[in-house]
Amino acid sequence: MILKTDFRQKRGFAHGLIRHLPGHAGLTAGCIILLFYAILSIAGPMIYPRIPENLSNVLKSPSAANWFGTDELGRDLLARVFTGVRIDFFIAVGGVGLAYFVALPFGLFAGYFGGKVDRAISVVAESMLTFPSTVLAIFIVTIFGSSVWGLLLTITVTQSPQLVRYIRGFVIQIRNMEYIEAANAVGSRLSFILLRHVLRNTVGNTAVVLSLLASEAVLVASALGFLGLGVQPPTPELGTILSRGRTYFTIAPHLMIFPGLFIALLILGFNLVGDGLRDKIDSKRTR
Amino acid sequence: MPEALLQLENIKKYFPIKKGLLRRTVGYVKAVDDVTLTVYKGETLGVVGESGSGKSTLGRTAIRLLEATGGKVLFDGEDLSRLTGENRRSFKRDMQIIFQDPYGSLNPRFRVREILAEPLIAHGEADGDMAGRIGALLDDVGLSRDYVNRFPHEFSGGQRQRISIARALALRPRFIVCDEAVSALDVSTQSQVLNLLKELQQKYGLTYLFISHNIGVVNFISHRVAVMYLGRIVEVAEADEIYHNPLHPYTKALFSAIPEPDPLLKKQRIILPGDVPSPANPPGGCGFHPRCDRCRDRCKRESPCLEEQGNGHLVSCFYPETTSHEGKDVTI
Amino acid sequence: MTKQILQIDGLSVSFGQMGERTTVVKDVSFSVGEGEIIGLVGESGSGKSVTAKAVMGMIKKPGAIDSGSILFRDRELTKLPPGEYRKLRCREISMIFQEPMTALNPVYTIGEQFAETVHTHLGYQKKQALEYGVQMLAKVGISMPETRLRQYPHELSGGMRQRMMIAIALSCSPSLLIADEPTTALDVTIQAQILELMKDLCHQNDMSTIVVTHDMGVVAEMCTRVMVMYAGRIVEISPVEELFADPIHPYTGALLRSIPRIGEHPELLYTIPGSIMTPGQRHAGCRFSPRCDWRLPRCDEAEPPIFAVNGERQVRCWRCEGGAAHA
Repeated sequence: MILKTDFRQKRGFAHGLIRHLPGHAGLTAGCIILLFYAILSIAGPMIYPRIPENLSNVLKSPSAANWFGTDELGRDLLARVFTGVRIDFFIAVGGVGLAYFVALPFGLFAGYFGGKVDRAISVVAESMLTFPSTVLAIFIVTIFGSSVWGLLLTITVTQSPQLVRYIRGFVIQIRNMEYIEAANAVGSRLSFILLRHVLRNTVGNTAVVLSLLASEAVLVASALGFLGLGVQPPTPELGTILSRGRTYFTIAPHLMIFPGLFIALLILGFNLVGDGLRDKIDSKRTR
Repeated sequence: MPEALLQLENIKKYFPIKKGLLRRTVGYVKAVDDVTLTVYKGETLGVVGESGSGKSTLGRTAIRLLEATGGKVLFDGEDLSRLTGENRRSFKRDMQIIFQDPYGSLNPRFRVREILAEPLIAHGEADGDMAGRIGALLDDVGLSRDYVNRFPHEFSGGQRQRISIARALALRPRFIVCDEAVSALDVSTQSQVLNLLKELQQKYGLTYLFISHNIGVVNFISHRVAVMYLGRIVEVAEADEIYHNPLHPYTKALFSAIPEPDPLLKKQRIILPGDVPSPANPPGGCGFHPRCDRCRDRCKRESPCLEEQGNGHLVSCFYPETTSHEGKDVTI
Repeated sequence: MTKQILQIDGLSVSFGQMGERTTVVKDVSFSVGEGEIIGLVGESGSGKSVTAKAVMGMIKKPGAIDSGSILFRDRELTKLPPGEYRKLRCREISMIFQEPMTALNPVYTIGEQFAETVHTHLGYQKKQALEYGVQMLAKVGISMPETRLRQYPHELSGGMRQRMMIAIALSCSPSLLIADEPTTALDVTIQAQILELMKDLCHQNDMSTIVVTHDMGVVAEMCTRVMVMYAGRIVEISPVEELFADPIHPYTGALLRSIPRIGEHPELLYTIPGSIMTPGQRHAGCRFSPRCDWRLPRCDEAEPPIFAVNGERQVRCWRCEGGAAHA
């Protein structure tokens, strides 16, 4: 039985790149990137507990002393970026993780029970989806506030509707399988069917979606930071640093290049993992 | 006098057809349309029919996987429709089903031991010697106990069907519906699984409702055979009797249509005109009349009922063949 | 001696990645005469469908023809460039498939699909194509052909779709028809109709047919000669009456014995012990030997070649060495 879930809309841009590489190159590369970020998130603030200002050393280009150069207050950019990474990473992973727990029951019930329950949940989810995620995020962040937690909750709210729809889709496919009928025939309770049968079979596909939503989350979080709605300075968040760098772009382009690069790399990392997982699942299922 | 185990009385199963924005019900697919049938203890009742006959729906309705739209299901004398909640669920121990698709009916992420443990967990029998019970089930179906930790995709179609059979046996049911249980298997695997089903029936005193479109298979395994057409039963008789002496025109055509593996047998083929009709739009009167060569006025207006023609042979037709029992012993 | 329209010699097909190829069809040789209806019989894993596809030139990566020749009217098909093959298909060799629903494009009416074929191969323009369509549909027994041509595949029943496939396949009057499990997906009463139809059309048009099936009943009905395949090899070739009356290869005999016959009530059915070897499994000897009741030590050492037995029959079994007629 070939069970292919159609992810056409959710294909990460990296798909075109990794298609031609043998085996699991994409997935491995993505994992390495994410591992790097995870380590930075933990180790960053430990290595750089304080980032001293040095007004005699402002806006210096990258050099041996400051590999990424310095910012407008003389702070080492590398230190700022390394410390800022944790915020974006945490917001993306935490936000999407929380979104999963919020979306899961809705997606499960909408998919499994269908009918009125499904319509009620879908109406809500789909009306939220009519807003582009960044616009929605701007709106939500004004409610939750411009703090790390505020951003995280914003991400949760913006990503949940998509996740509900995806989970619902996976559940619908599974619900029609004969082994669910068999479980009913054998007399299994509803909770057993939902948690053991349905849930376990959505895990693979859900992991793919979560990675891709995480990459979107990074984009949204740093976009908010860029717009000044995100985390406020002096807390280093990549989008905020990027925004600051705008003012000095002509004389100190490194202020935008490095944070921008790190944002892009994180997004790439999530995309590679998502695409890689999806390819792996597809090839396993095509029997 | 054989004892009845399962009694279906005037069972109807209609599926509503919904159209339009407001999902209004515009009609019904009458998958099963007034079926009365008895299955006796220890017997195998075969049900044959083509697509649209309703045989699969009948099987599922009999064990209450689907709720009948009308009529009653009596199991061991108890009216199942009156049971609610826990009582209803516990009857599932007695009535099980084996599905057609050996690939779809097993959860690909469950190991064999989880598949076999599920029925036990569902009915609170999870404590005690699970490993032993699961091992015994595998022994019963001829699979090695070493297979407990494997996944379904590691097995062949025939082996997966054996796992399905083991699952159906887990709660020691008395009644099992085999819904095209061997239809997806190769001939050589088919014969193995059919033999297994027969052996298990003798070992555990099981009663089977064996649904299939393969008449050769049904005749091998069944004691009695019922023929369905468009949601109704048109004929019921002992397996040999119905083959040698079909009384309903559809049954006659059905049996003559089967290609026999014998090139020297030049059959008098009855080729039925037209197509198998859809249960969403059945013809009026006798459902078979548009394709019947004996059709008369009455057949277009009225619907016949099952009537006994002697020796437990029932036919639903206004102008059936006359029975000819001269010199033939009906084997039980 | 009828003229041979198709001659296959030593055909082998394998699938897989570089370095790891599994042979799914090995050393298949047979021929089809003009106007003959022959059966290619086997269970799953026998390689019969792959053989049929090889004749049609439809083996795609990762599959490939390793060796052997396919001569169709003295043309070597294995060396044919794809463009030439396309011209050959439908015009000379046609195929009908098991699942008419998936073989027909659901978004085009059947009239459009019919017209496309005759336009491509016969150059008919729309009006001509539709007129021809009406003729062909009537020929295959579809009532109200003009209306049907305007319908979509899902509006037709299974039997009608299969008739439609036959109409399209026969539209260019091919000399060879390959029918891959043509009636397996159909109801018994419809199957009877389609088999009768196919027999009539084959005789009317003097068309050779290869019926690929697992159903011995269909073979008995339709075919004059039968080829039995097992695990990618041809194990027996025989005229149909002799095959059923006196099967020589142990697999053929076992297969026929396993079929439940109506009217017979054995306590248990005959079963072939064990199960078929997967194509990847390595085995020096005959692929059927682990399950064979008549096994000799030799059978595990080397694969037997095909031996001629009693004139027309051919059997791949060591017990038939030297033309011995019995296993």
